[in-house]
Amino acid sequence: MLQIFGWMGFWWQMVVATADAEVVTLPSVEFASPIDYPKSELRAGKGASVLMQLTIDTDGQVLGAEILESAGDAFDESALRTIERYQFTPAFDENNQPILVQIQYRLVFNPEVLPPVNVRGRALEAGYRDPLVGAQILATNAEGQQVVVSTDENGEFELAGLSEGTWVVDAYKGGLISVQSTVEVSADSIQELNFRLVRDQAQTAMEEADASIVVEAKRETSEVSVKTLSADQIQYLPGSNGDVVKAIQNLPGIARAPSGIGQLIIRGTAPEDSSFYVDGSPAPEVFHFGGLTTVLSTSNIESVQFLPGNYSVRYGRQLGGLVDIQTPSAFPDRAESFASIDLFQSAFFVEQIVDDKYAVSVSARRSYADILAAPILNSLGATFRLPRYYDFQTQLTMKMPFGGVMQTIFFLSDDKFAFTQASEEEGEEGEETVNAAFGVNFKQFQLKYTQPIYTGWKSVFTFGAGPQKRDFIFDASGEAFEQNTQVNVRQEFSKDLDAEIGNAWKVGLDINSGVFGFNYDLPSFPYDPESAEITYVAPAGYVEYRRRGKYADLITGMRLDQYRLEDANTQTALDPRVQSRFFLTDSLNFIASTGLTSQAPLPRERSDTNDGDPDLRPERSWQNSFGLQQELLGGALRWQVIGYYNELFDLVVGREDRFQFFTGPPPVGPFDTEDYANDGTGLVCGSEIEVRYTDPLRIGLLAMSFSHSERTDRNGDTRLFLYDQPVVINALYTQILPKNWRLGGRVRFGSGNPYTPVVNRVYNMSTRDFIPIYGDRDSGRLDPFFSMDIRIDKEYTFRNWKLGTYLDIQNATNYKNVEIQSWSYDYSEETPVQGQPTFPIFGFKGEW
Amino acid sequence: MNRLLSGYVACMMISCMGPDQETLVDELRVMAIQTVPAEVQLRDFAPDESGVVDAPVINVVVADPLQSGYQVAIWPCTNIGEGCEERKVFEDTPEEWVAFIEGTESLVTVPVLNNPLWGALLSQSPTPDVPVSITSIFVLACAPEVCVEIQNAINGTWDLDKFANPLDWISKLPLEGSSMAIKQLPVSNGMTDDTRLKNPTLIPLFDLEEPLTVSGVDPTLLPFEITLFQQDADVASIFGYTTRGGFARNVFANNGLQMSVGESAERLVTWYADPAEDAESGPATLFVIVEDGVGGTDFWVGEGATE
Repeated sequence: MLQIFGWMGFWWQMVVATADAEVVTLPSVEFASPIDYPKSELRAGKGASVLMQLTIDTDGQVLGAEILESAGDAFDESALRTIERYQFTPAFDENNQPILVQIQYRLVFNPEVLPPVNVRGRALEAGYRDPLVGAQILATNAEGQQVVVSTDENGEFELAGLSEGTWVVDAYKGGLISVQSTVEVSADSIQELNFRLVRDQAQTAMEEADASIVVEAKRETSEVSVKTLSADQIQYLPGSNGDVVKAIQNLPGIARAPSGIGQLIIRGTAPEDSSFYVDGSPAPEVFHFGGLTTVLSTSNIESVQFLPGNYSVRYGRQLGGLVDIQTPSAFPDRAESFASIDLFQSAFFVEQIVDDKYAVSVSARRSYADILAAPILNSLGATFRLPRYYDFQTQLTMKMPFGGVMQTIFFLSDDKFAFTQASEEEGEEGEETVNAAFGVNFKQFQLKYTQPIYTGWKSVFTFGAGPQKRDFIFDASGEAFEQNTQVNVRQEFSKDLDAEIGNAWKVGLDINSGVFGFNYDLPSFPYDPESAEITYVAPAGYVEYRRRGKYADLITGMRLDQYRLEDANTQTALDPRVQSRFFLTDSLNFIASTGLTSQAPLPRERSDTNDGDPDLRPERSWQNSFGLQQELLGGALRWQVIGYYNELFDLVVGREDRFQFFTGPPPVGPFDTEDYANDGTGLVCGSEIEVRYTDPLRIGLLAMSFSHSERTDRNGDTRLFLYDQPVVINALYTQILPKNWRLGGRVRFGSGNPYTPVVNRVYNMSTRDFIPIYGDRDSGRLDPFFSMDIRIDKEYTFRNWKLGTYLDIQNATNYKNVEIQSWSYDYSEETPVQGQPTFPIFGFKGEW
Repeated sequence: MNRLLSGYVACMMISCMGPDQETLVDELRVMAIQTVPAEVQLRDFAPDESGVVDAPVINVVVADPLQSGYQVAIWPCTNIGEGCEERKVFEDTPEEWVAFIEGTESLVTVPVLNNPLWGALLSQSPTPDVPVSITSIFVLACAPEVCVEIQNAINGTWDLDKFANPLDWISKLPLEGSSMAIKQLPVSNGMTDDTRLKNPTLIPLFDLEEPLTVSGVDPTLLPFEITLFQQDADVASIFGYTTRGGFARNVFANNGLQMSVGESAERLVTWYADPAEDAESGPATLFVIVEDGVGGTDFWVGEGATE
């Protein structure tokens, strides 16, 4: 063992360890890169020494280094970074030939002996201007000498011990594009050098190898059937126009809603049989007109949970599935802001963090198709106002004592569509008469208070309140509206699993109440006028117990719903539910679930002031599902096959000749015009196949739904459900490309909806038009749907902000899809109403 | 240049105001139902002093552009909830209830049935002299062998359920080759002609001896003298139909005659040739119909040709 000491005040020793040939001349240090002293240790005045074993090649380069005596992570990492930049003379054998050797080398950190600082600076991420922590700053001079340091928690760095002359300085950070600069070093001054590194999505994706945009139900979640989508990258999926909630329409279990409806048809149930929640509280509306976009800004959404059926007992009051939008639950790391503009709308989002205790955000959006297109169309003779909508959200997140977090969010939305006519009255220039108009608006305030209360237990209190109204105006004399002002309160105590094997509990009280008012007065239509204002209270209690063992995960729950309505008899429903998952192998699960759900009839159906039946019972659904799930390739590839069989019973039928707001094309006769009764039943069954591949660079999804949905009326006649779609297939793929490009495509195929065909007609001489004679209800079927969507994204990064641009081409092949069946004036020919043609949307989004 | 300009203007007129496809009748269709007089009074069925009954009649206009011939069934239906009540009344003598015509003529005429139900129903009315539309006239025109039930009835084998439930019947018939029409029949127990609903009159003012033709982009204007007799004449409209070419757009609201009750006025209907390049020219049957909006009807049927 040979020890060599001393250079620049650092002690070192060197030992010849192994060499095939006899070493005659030992390596010696030619260039000693200044130590990248850990900042925290330096401030604390701590010194240390690290013993390493080095492998030095025939050129004197350090091929490898291994810690033999540690001095802690900070010193060890610094020692390894420093020694890589050392330059040695090679070892020589007896023939004076350079040879590979291993030596031991001790690097000593002495805070008293430090070389002078020559260059000082900071590295930030371009655009967001976040400090880059741990970025490598490498300085190289003409002689090949190198000095490396890393940035601290503020992104700052210092280069010391540089010789006078020109140095090239490179800044590196994983996921970002490196930057190079040149600096002239002199002994009597300190140079300032700042870097802004641009993030590269492809590199970032590779770095974050374990990142995933879609998290399937795993052992950690309490729901067996939940599908959770995060907001991060899902907004880039083709065809969704950047909308997070629209992205769930790609998942199996959701049928395609006719264009212009903007609702979800989940497992063969009507849109009104499924519910939307925001943080567990019922939300009035989720989509603007036509399903163009979600009423909440994407920045207000952390994730979206989609539960097509067999969900937890914490959810109730619906026969179909549900979507629960989660707003950001954690206190934000940094304040974000953006402004965006595209063909439809403009939006902004601004967030501020105050005292590291309060986070406030404000966002708003407005469509302007009316402003752009209406003048052009009206100049051609049309007199209508295109759909216009706006929404607004403001959110406040507060850190509370004892680890609690309180969030409040206020959001409103207003949609309107109108056909108008200029007033012909003198002196009323500029005024318009509304021939027909449709509007939806709501305001909602929500509060969510989460508080840890005991080991593993937490309390979540949710309060939501606000009015919702939708109205339809026809001619000056006719109006129909429904207004629901509701208050929702939920108090839940839960204990999550704290180990791989264990128990969990959930106990809660869930109250939904409000005043439902309606007025249907349309003289131009053959409906009797109706109006009422009805108060209702629907309290519910639930308890759920979960036991997870080595081979199975079992969740059992019970929910008791009570439906109280003014002037109607109180009804109750007891809904037991069981979900189970059996771990067949480490990656393969078998799932099976069964349970009941209930849904109150509409207030008008139970109100005896409107010929309703006060004794109507809740509508019920018995949901059953089973299937297999597996994860392969370390979780990158996932597949599942789910079968389900749902029986609907106690469905309310009757009075189909009365006015109602339709979520789609209005049904056509023959109608059941008898009194309301719980005499309807239904059957929905099918299977869903999902294959998903996700890695940091790409997303691939194949979702196939096969289903059959039928309803049986009070006479025992069975017909297809209005939106029965036996086959729905979605396939999408998105790839992140270098230089911040992103390319994606989606293909959708789906069966057409049933419709009632016209089999003949009668010529009405009084009005000289034809009266259609319909065949069996919903016995026809529209042509299948097909669409291919393409999306291209490109992000540009500037010093202080980022600009995202995208082109989303919907129905790129301009396939002529049939949305609604229509007929010629004499009903002799079917003249289908076609859906959206090729529709390119180009947009910008600036973030800072 | 002038020819170009006039051609452009004519083209614009045709594209904006030209023939409407909905005025082209290219299949068997019942075009009009007229009762004469417009309001049936029960006294119409009483014999006059000479013992003759001058019963009201029903005129039915049928378009048969394919000229394949047709069978027509005409019957009244008083439906108060369970199909035509006449079924029970005429269970044993259905031939008195339903009239049949076979042929190729555009106009067929049958007498109005003296319906015993009317007396019973009008006796319950507080104002029996005010006409009520309690009965509908159903007309079913069928191409030969399309409506087996008509042929069977003509042969004496009746399926009365079909005639008692005409909307169910038509739902079972093929769309091609069958045409059903309905018109409400005002009936009263009025005793005077003064308040009786009257049909409007429609008199052509062009030379009926001259052949009617239309060609190219120049429409043929057909003037008619129209007289209205009803109180609600503001909703009266005039309609044109043809088996070749087309008339200007027929819309109930837009074809308003805008004339006073009791006065005569001249109105024009515009007949166009088919502007399509591959349109075939040939003979056409023209139908011009006036509806006064309260049950009164008059019509004119003529022959012409497109060139």
